[in-house]
Order: sequence, then C-alpha cells, then structure tokens
Amino acid sequence: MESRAILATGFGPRKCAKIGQPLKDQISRLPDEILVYILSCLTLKEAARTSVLSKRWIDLWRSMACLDFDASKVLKKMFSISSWGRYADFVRKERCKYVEWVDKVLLQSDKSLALDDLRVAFCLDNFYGDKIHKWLQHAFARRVQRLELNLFADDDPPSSQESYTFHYELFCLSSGQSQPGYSEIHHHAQIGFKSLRALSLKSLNVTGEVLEFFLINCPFLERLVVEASSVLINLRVCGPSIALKYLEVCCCLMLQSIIVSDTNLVSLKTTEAHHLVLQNVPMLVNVWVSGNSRNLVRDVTSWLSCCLSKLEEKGIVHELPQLTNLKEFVLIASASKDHSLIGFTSLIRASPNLEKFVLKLESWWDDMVRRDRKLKKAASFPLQHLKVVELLGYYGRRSELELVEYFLENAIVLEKLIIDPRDPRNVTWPKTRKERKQEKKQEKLARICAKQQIEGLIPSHIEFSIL
Amino acid sequence: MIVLNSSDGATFEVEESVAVQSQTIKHMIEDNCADTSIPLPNVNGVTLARVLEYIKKHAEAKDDEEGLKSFDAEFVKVDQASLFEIILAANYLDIKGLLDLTCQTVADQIKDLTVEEVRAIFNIMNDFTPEEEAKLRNDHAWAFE
Repeated sequence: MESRAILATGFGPRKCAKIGQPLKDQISRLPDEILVYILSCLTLKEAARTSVLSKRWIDLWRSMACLDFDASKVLKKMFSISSWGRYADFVRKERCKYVEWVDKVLLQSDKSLALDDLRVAFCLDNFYGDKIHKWLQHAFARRVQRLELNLFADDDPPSSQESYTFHYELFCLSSGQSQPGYSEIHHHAQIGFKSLRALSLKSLNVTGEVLEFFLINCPFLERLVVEASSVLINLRVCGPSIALKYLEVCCCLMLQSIIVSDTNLVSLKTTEAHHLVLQNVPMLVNVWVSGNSRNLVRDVTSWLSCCLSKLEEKGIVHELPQLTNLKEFVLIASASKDHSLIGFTSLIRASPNLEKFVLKLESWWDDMVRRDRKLKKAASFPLQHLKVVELLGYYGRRSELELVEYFLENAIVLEKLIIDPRDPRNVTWPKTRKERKQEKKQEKLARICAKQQIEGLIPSHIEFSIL
Repeated sequence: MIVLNSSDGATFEVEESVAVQSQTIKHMIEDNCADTSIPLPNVNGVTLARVLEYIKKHAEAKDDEEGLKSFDAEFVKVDQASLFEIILAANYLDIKGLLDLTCQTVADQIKDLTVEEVRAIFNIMNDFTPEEEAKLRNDHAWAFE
C-alpha cells in the first residue's frame, strides 16, 4: 500500500503569474547521475516506483549501485506466526516471491554496471542453491564491493545438509584460466570477485578454506563477517598481505580454532574466544569477545599473552603483555552466584590506553545472589585514559560493586559511568507476560540497589546514569 | 584568502582552508589555476553565497555534532528551485557532505508519497499512456505492494 503524507509547505504545487500554467519540472533538470544518487537514498522498492513517474525516469532506478533486497517486514511477520501449518504455507509462498524478486531485478540488470552493495537476506536453503549461485555469479561479474548473504536458517542450530553451501570453485577457477563452454558471466565473475571489500555470510555453509581463499585473493577485502556456519572448523588469518581490518566470527558451533597472526587487523569480534589464538596483531584496537568456558579469565589471558612481546618499563616487568593499541574492550561474562570478577582488572591494567570498558553480565536471575560479603580489592594502578565504563546487567551484587569501586579509585580521568540493570542479551523468542513482569520487577530492584550502593560514591564531575 | 567569481559577476572571499571542502576548488588551487580568482561559471551568486554559508559553518563548528545537525536541518528549508540549484552547485564543486545532505532531503520528500503525489510536487508531466503505465506497474508489481 502506498502511504500518504502531508506535503511540506515549501514543496506544494504552485502556479506562476500566468494563470493556469504550472511551474516547470525542475527536478528533471538534474543530470542522470544526481537523480540516481537521490534514488540511492531510498529503499529498492521506493526507487523502483519512480520508474512510473515519466519516461525520463523509467530506467533510472536500475542504475542504482546498491541493491538491498530487504524483506524484514515479511520476516518479522513470519517469525511471529505461532501455528506451524500457517507458518509452513507462509514461508513457502514468501520464499517463491522473494526469489522471483531477486531474479527479476538482479538477473535483468545491466551486467556491465558496477555494483557497490548487494544484500540478500531471507530464509533460503540449499533447495534454492542454483538460484543463489546465479545471483552470486552475477554480483561478482558486476564487481560487487560489499556483499551480504544472510540465509536465516530455519533450524537452530542449522542442519548443515540443508543449508546452502558456498562453493567458490563454481565461479572462481583456481587455475585462473577460463575454459571453453563456460559462459561469459563466469569469466567476468572470476575477475570481478577480486573487487570485494566487505563480505558477510550468515547462516550458510562456508568452510575456512573458502574464507581463506577470499582473504588471499581479494586485495581490498577489509571486512569479513561469518555467522552460524556449522562447517567452519578452522580459520587462519595470517600474513601481512591480507588487507583485513575487521573480522567477526560468531555462533560457529563446530569451530575448533581461529588463528590471527601477523596481520593489521584493527577490530575483532567473536563468540568463540576459547578457540582464539592471537599473535602479533599490533594494530588491534577494538576487541569484542565472548567465550563459553568455566574459566574465562584464564582463557582470555592465554590468548592475550600471545600478543605483543613483553614490555619492560623501568625494570618492572608487567604481569601481562601490554596491549598498547586497545581502546575499547567489551567483556561478556555469565558470572554466576556472587563470584568475584575482580580478576578482570588485570586485563584492564594490561591495556594502558584503554578508553572504554563495557562489561555485560549475562547471568540468569535465579543464578545471582546478593549477599553481604567483604569487597575484594585489586592492586591500585592509575588508568590514564579510561573515560567510559558501562556495566550492563547490573544486579547489585558485591562482585559488581567491587568493580565500581575499583574504577572509581583507579580511573583517574573517568567521565561517564553507566549502570544498566536490563538483561543485555537480545533474546529472540517472545516472552510471556509473566516473564516480562518478573523481569521488570527484577530491573526495578536492581536500580534501587544501584542507587543505594553507588550514588553516594560518585564525585560530582563524573556523569553517572542508571538506565 | 581565495576569491570566487559567480556566473553573474558577484565576488566572494573565503579562507583557503574552508574553500578546500570543495574538491573542485582544491584541485584548482593545487594546479595553480587560482592566482587572482577562481571563476565559477556554473554557479550563480545567490547559490554560491548559500554554499559558502554551509562550508563556513562546517569548517568552524567541525566537532559540534548537535549544532551541525540542527544547522543542516534549517539549511535545507528552502524552496524547491533553490534546493536544486544547491544540488547542482554541490555536484559541480564536489562537496560531498552538502550533496549528501541535499539529495537526502529530496529523497525524504519522495519516500512517503505516492507516484501521483511525487508528480504533483515536482511538476513532473506524466507522458505515459494509461496502458503503458498499467503495464509498467504490473511489471514492477513487487515495488507497489
């Protein structure tokens, strides 16, 4: 349904002095490139609608360099259907529509026109493998720079037999020679894929071998995101020739090792920190890790100790190698009961230029305990650059208060302290009314605790907020 | 200081550090075409004044995100013809921020309207026959859902 809106006063149709003669069509004075630029600020559907405005506009939208096949409204509706029968029907129908849509727009587009962005995001499995393969081939032939393929698996975790499998051999012959019989588009794709700058593959099967192939053969590939690939076992990101700056590897449950060494990686995000090995990554500035292990501090320090060689300063050897470029550290811990978290401060001490620290506490309500015990302290150490501290999932335990006191004592340039009692996990399943009510009650209680425990300790120059 | 000449003979003085927000002017300075003044035959005086207002503000209040946001919002509250003149100038002078801002403004107008409404506010003449239009709408049915 096309929506209606109130016209802004500056843009109403006006008649000029000669009565009955409308003003000229000013917008068509603009050259094609500018009109296409304007259209690229719209969604794909909105831009395609302009094809009906006048003959000038018929194909302008086709020159858009960004194609985002966004069906998030449909997906939202789909995930909220409770009856299985209706869900299956809906999925079947919508899948056909989505595939037809992408086919129509992508495969009919001008193959010589460079593509900046392509995003395909819908729950599709290997049944549509041929289609997906054609789309990818087409995208690479058009020298796509940023590619996102998100196939939202039906199951959780996705079964690897049904998920789409990314075969790079089909369009990138490793021998580099084109063979007779392969279509022209195949040939273009073989060259075109090297234009990749950002690759995001979610909920499909992609092996470490394929990812490494892209890392080695794409000289501009700066951003790599992999999520929910159950065939990703090992990944090596090694060597100074790799252009990668941002790496994200999440929810790959069969992962056994990630090795990042001798690269210029700047940002790293992973939920598999327990399999991570970091060696000589001097440009690393942003680290976002979560890991599934009983002894998280030990695991994290073990990979940290593979970084940069030890520094000696005035004869004092720091207990951990220094992460001199680390500016922002987000740590997620499911700290049960009231186990002290003060051990983490050794990590903070090892990051002398740290500016922002975020701790996300993902514990279950019934696993948290508030009891009155003595606060543990860590060695005093001035944190020269730490300006922002956020504690998400604050409950009011002694373990949390210890940390707050630690920061208040040692973060001498602290500007902001944010306490958020809400559960930092983004749960996807809908909560019952009872659960939500319970949650609100817990949050309220946590807020009261935070206020009572912390408010009095904060000096006036620090911005303190309880969300 | 750099001197700029508009198409209708008006002259404007602006600091070089501010003027180089325009990639076109920057290259002209680098190629030494700017000894006395830079002629800009594609931009009239009124529009050039507005463009200079934009780049001056963005140079002096570079770090004030909130202030720039509200300035930008007010800046684009002009009539249609002026907005398009600014777009053309920003394109010619290659000032990315200004081009982004003005094009986004036009896009925001198109975004929420039906095809008929867009035609109305931009005075676009519909040169399709009813059959042609119907066929087009049918071909792109997915866009009209």
